[in-house]
Amino acid sequence: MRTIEERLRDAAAAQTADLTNETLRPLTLPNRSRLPRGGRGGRWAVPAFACVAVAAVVIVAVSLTQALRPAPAPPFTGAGGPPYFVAVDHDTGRAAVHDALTGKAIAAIGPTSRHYTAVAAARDRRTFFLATTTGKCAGQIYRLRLSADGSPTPETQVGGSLPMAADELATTPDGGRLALTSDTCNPNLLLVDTRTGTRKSFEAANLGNGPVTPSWSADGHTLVVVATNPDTGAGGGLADVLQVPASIADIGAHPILLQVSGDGTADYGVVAPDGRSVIVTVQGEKHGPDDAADYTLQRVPLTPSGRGSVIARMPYRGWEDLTADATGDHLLARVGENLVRVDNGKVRLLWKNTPWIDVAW
Amino acid sequence: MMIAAIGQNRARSEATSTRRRRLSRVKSKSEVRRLEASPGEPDAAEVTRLYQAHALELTRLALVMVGERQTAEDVVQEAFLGLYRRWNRLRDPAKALTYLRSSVLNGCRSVLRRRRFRRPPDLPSAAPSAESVVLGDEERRLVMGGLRRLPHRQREALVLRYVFDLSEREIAQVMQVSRGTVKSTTARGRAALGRLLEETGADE
Repeated sequence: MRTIEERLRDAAAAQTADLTNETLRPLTLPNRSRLPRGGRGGRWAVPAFACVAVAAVVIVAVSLTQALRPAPAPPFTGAGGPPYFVAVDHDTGRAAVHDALTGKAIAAIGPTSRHYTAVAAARDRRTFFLATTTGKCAGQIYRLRLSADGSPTPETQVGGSLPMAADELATTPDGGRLALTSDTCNPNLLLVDTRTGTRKSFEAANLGNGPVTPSWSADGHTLVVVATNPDTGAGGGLADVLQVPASIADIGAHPILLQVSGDGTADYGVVAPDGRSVIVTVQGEKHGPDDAADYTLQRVPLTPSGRGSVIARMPYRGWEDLTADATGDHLLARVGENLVRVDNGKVRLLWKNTPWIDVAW
Repeated sequence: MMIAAIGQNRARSEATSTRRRRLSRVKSKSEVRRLEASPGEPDAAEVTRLYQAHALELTRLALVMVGERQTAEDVVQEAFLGLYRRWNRLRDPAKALTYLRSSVLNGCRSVLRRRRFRRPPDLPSAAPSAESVVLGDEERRLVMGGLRRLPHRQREALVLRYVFDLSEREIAQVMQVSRGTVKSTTARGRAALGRLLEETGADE
């Protein structure tokens, strides 16, 4: 049985099959326009496109069938990964604790009046921070601790009212400092010291160009912001590396130490435990009549060239979130409508048709 | 230690790296070099280059939205004309593709709004044609028909997400909404399309 998206792709591909560069009307601009003459490809373009489309559909269908099938017996025991994750529902703004083996909800978090937008987890696997929105660019942060059985203790607010509704939230492993980023607020990066309440907001070069994902190094002194400009293709900026001194108040106006380039478009990433590389989901260049893209999980060194090595090729489309535990061996990611966990490079489906906008463990 | 090394590497020209980042989805190194050499100014050649690079994708987008090729090409031409006229006023020329996608969607919306009062020339008819008796054609006809019955936001989100493979973030920029809105709109559109296909007997 094909999914709605497969049927939609198939119908759209059929409807647009006759469109080629050669058959498009040239662009007519006023005055001194130079019109495109013809295009690439030849009489084999249509059959070639059709072959690629069929191959892509077959590959995607086979991949989805095989890769998204729930793991068979013997039962998966977690491979040493975190026992719980916290997920935020995009529709209701509610958050809940979930069992990391089954994906099932264990307990709801907070009062229904709160609208959560993002979540981050500390190294102890029991401390979580949740961002809420109270206005267009206004929000709050709550700290949550889980008991051994996953039940949440009452939340405590940290940092007071903040001038940002966070789209992404990251905590240092010890939970001492937070980084919040926003797709729509300016400045779009806010740092908060959870112990003193000190905070500092600023906007850095890459951050102005598009959405960003923050991630802290193990020692909590380096903040990496994966911030590819969505309009930039391969070879564009991949991440900014910022040095954060012991006191947030001492951060200079331009704390970026390094800007990392990369091959492809990476929206999400986490610093590897060694602090010298980031693990990112990279969308390769789009190709073929379907504009299909290859996704890979890459480890990119924090050097200017940033040429990454592929950890795994992702067999399906739409990698959205990527969050890691403190070891970096266990990742959670949203892939289309599904939540998957990646343990030491092995991908397992955890939940289908997720309503979640952010997850952390 | 790593940080110290990193600091030394900052000597790279910021202007060059910024310029590089701003070159939107260019296809080759030669294009990058050519564009780096020319400042962003109203330039027919630059708009024509963008047309050559993206017209097919954008026309496909418009065709899926409006269902008729002539109109789709008109919408795309108009979007490029708009870009050309506003080139000087673009805050960031690197975002031309995002601008064009938004512009094409707006153009399609206008076309569809006008169509409310008159039947479009080639929308699927109630009875399948002889050609579309073939099961696959009929299935596709129903899917596209169902898609066009969705609210425009849901239709756009579904097409950008599933047909054009844009990430939620890219869609959020094109549609100028939050990522959460993209996700919920996509989920609702998917469910609604599923229901419509069920109603029309096209459920697999």
